[in-house]
Amino acid sequence: MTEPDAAPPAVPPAGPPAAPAPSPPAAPVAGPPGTVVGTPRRPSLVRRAIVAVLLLVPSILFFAIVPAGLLGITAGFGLESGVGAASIALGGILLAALWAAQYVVRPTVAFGPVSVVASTVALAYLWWLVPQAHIAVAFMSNGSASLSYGTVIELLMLVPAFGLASGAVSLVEDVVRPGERVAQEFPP
Amino acid sequence: MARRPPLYRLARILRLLGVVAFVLILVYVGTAAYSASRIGIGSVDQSGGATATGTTVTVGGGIFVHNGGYLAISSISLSALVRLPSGALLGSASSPSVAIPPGANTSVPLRLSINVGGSAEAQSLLTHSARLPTATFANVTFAGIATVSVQSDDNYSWGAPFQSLNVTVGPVNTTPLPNGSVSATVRISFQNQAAFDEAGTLTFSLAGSTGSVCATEAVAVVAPQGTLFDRTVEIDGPSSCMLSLSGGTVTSTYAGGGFAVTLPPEGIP
Repeated sequence: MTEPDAAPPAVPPAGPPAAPAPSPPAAPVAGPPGTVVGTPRRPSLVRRAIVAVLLLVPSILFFAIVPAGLLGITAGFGLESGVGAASIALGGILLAALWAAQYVVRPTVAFGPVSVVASTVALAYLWWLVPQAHIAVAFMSNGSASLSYGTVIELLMLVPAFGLASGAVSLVEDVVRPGERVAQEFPP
Repeated sequence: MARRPPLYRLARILRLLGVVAFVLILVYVGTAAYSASRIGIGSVDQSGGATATGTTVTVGGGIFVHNGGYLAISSISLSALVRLPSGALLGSASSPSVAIPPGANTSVPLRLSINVGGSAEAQSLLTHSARLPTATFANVTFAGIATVSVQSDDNYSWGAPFQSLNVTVGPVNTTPLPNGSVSATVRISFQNQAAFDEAGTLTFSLAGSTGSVCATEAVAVVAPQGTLFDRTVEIDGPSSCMLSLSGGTVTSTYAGGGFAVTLPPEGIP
């Protein structure tokens, strides 16, 4: 008895043709190192808006209410500031709003431009504050004292300067490699 | 774990640097504020700190600073202006700029120079004590980030070195001396209210109503600060001149220890 050289061709069973077998899940396509494949899981606009509003509260507190309140308190002790509490409050609210806007547009290509705008506004605001950064007080009708803290403001300008650079890089990344940043920040 | 894309990493690093810078600045400013609260200031003892050279009296002073904080006082300097009661500038002072490291005790000297020979009003300070308006300024740069400027307006108590100087000419003795001149007694009195001792010579001249000098005499003066000087001397002069002293003037100069001044003239009744 010998082994058949080859098995006879299989005959499909009679009957209706079978449905095609389900294909296995597609394997991730290898891309450039570090790339994430798949659809980013962006939070919905509503969710981002809610979080942005929640972020707005502490940031307004930090950028607007506390500085303006401190200026008001010092004015109560006879200290004169070079800048008005209302200006500080308005500037602080503007910065907080831009910061919240940055969060809302983060999963979009608008993130880079908004970051650049927010940082530029912050830089301009601090630059405007520098020459006015002093507090003066008169005492005992025969003297006065003033404190200038412009250098502190100048140092603080480093923070939006880094933000500006970071926003510019994000802007370039979104143009040169669309979707790369969003995929990294909101992985599937 | 795969490396993230370079641009994404760069943006994140820049954002992180901003946060780090913010935290560092806050910590530094907080430390500076705490350190500033630990600075102690006192005034330097001024007793015996006055010297006189030419027509200028220099008064020593200043402040003593204890930096008990963690950060250095980058610079501290003082300056002062002193004015005559009329408002004219009489003298000024400025200290060197001093840096004070953490934990150090340093004095910042301030030497106020007052020229009592600059004008008639200034000259009157030789014989009249006064409270002179002064303005003192201090500039402190702390930790390289904040500058405090202080201005204080006050009065400086000036003590006249020849307070209430009186050179009183007594009646002329009409009996001629063997050389033909006549004599008169002259009483010199004053109080040294200055912050320095006097040891020198007071030279005074009597001039008649016509302006011609009748006699000149030099008197040794030793008047430690705070003491009274009272001495009577006899002075000779030509009878024609001495008998016409009424309506004339007494002019005096003092020289001693480097201090050389012309005192305000006095009338002879």
